Amino acid sequence: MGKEANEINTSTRVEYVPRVGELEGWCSGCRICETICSMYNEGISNPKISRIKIISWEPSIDVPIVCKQCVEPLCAKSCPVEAFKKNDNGILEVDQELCIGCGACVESCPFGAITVNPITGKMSKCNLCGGQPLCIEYCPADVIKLMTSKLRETEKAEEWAKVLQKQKEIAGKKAKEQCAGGE
Amino acid sequence: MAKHGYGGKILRIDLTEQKATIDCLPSEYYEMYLGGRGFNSRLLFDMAGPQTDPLSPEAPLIFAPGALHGTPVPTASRTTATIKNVLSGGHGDSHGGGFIGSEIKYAGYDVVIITGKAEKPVWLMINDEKVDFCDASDLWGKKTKETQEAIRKKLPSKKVQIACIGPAGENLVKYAVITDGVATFGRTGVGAVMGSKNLKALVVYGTGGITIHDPSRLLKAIKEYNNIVKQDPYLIPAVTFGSTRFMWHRVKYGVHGACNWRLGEFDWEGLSPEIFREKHAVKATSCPMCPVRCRRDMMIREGEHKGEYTKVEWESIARSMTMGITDSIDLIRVIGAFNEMGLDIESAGDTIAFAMECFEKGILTKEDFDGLSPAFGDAELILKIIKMITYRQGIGNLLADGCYRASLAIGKGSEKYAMHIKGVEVTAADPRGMPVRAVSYATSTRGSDHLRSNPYVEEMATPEEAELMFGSREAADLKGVAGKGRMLKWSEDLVTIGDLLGLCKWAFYRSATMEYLCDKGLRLAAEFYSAVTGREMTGEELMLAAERVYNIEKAFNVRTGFRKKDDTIPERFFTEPIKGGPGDGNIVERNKFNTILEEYYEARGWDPSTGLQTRAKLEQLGLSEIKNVLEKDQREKNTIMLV
Amino acid sequence: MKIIVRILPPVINDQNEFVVELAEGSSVSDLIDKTTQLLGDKKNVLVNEEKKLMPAWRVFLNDRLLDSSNYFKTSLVQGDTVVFLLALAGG
Repeated sequence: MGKEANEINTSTRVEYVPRVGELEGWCSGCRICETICSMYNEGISNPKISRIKIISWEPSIDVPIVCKQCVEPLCAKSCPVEAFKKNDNGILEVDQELCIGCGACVESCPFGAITVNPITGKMSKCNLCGGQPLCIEYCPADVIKLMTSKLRETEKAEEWAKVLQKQKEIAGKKAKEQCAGGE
Repeated sequence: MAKHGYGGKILRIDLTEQKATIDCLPSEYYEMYLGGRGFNSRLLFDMAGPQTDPLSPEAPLIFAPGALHGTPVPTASRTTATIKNVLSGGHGDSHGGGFIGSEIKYAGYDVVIITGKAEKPVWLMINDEKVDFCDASDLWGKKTKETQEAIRKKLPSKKVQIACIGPAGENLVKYAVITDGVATFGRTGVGAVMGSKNLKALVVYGTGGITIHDPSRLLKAIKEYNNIVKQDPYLIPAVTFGSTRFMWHRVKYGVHGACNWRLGEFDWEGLSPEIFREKHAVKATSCPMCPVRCRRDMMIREGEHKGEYTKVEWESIARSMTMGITDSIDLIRVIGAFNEMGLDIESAGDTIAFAMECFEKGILTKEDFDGLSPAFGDAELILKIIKMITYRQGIGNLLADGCYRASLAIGKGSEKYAMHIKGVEVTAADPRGMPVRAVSYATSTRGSDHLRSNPYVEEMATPEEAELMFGSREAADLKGVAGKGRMLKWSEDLVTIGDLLGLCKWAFYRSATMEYLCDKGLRLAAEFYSAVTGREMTGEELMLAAERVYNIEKAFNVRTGFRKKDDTIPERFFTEPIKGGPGDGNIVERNKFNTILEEYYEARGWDPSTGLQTRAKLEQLGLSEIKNVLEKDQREKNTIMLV
Repeated sequence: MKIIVRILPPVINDQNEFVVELAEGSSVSDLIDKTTQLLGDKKNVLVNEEKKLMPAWRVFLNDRLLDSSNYFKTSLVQGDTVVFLLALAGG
């Protein structure tokens, strides 16, 4: 992981990064992240109030969903009572005193990453546990990472560059063959 | 009564009256039995007796999540479903590693007790304190997956957990299962009990949470556990191969139990761990909270049945070999059918193998099978028999009662092909050549079972460790006798801890060395319990609680009539040698079996000559109430039940 | 002489079958030492801290299960196959 990923800034987030070619490289659906998140942040263990959530369907598909820590957070913009406030680390959190549980943020978040507490009806979102998210630390499959968009940008660009290079090589080879055939 | 780690309440549901009552357990139950199987075994003892018909309305169906289930403790995923054993008539329970148990706890309950019988099929919706009895007439007849899907469609929240039965449970097949979509409560006929109550599904949604006494201590212990997982060679291949990895062991020892427990040599290459990994495994999946991830959905990727998939665990493969299946695609189809119908693969596999051998021997004929000629390994035929069993058609009606009862009905010498202990079909590996494994199947309190104990300790211990712990170096030798009874007692108590706390018997109670095993199974288990509940416990105290629970189950079995003569294994293992393979010619030697059995009784503090419990032992364990019940029975029935 | 070694289940991802070169007259104990060396930092899955083979590893010489007290005495010959099998009993 690059240095910038460890610095807390508004674009650092918990990201699902499966190792696509491996059977063991996917979220296994164990829910350790959910129970640890709820225990650490809410004081009780129950996946329903975890800020990271695993969405599952058959056969054997499990995908972790968690706040993207957007630079222009739609959740905060939609909040009528301005309950979204930056904490000391610069991470947006929901002030439980101010939150009225209207659900505007749930509607506006494109990723379904806001968590609704089923008892209080109020909202919460990932605050990166003060910089070292416990979900990452305890993930047995090692598939959730602390990421910045900048780092992902480079990774994705590198992946695509390799594909592009291969395409160009194939195209070049084809062109050459055609030239040879034309003679 | 808020207790760290627990839900605190219990829920009693009467299906006849359609009434739910919220209640509390006596606080000494928490102290003495910890949770899960511990609560259940005591409650069953309190609620059912020798006269209770397991499928009658008054017989209870009890669910209890393990004490640590619902918390982040690694592998804490097990829930116990307890009944009066449909197959044996004695103590019965089954354990599942899914999400239904944690949801029960989030709803606030440590135990859910279901009694009575609904007039028409119902499903239950438990939403915290609210319990609804919903009409299940549209669900009745549906297979397990269809049932799950249909219920989910009815409900606004996707986060509910559902435990349901398939058609087999509805038709009271004596080895029907309850499944929660992820895991299955497989053994002893729990699904039949649910079906007998006209209960199609139990649906739970819990909004509460479990408090943890000391989260940072818990997190530290989780790290310690995770470190062991990374180092223990026993667990490393579990991640890559899941439970399919057991095949290598079976092959090298020749203990397949193939073709109704006859052959030690088997055409296994089509079922190799590599084939399942490369051709069928979807990905590494896990039970709740488990870092080991040995669960697998297996999918057929080509051919006529492309796209079909089902869960395949080791026992599915083992019992497929008992039915003679040699091809992985056949296996996935057959196991898929068992799962869909809601049948216990272990009992059903043995029962079908029994029927096939009866046909082979001319005891059953084509006419008995509606013109079919069953043969070992014929998947199409097995699929047809599965249907006949599920819907109790033709010979299926007999086979649906298990191989023991079927053999009694068929007669003609078929009894010797029925592989059961106390009426419950034999599981796991062939015990011939490994005497303590045979004894461990026989002493299990729920009928034949390889998970009631952990005799595999003999392969983990060094001779020095064996001498220190069990008084003889022989205890570390597969063929040894001395010390094995003590080892068996110790290992039964050890894995019972897993059922009390809800920990996995594979990931928590198997290891490559005794050091890892004791470190995890005793020290860390106690550390987890102490950190979560705030009640300081040591490994020894956990062992004591486990011993208590084992004794309650034993007492229940004694009340229902089981004696020393029933602590035995099918005659075939004593008299018929394994055919072929590395274990060719092995049998279970009767004298070794008896010596180990008596040493075991002695280690348990029971009477070695009768196998009965002693007053002194029950009192020492704080089980005077249990003792009094036995005393009373003894007086009334004029038979000896206690020494 | 050359001895074929297999480790089951494959706990060492990419190397489960290999050929070990040993001096004539070597015993199974010598083979364990040599295999341990070859495994490098992954040796901990095979041996404990005292560098002894963990009891759960069963040794098969040409498909015959060996008694752990006899490793010293059992000598190997060219072309022997030795399987280290992790005890994975149960169901």
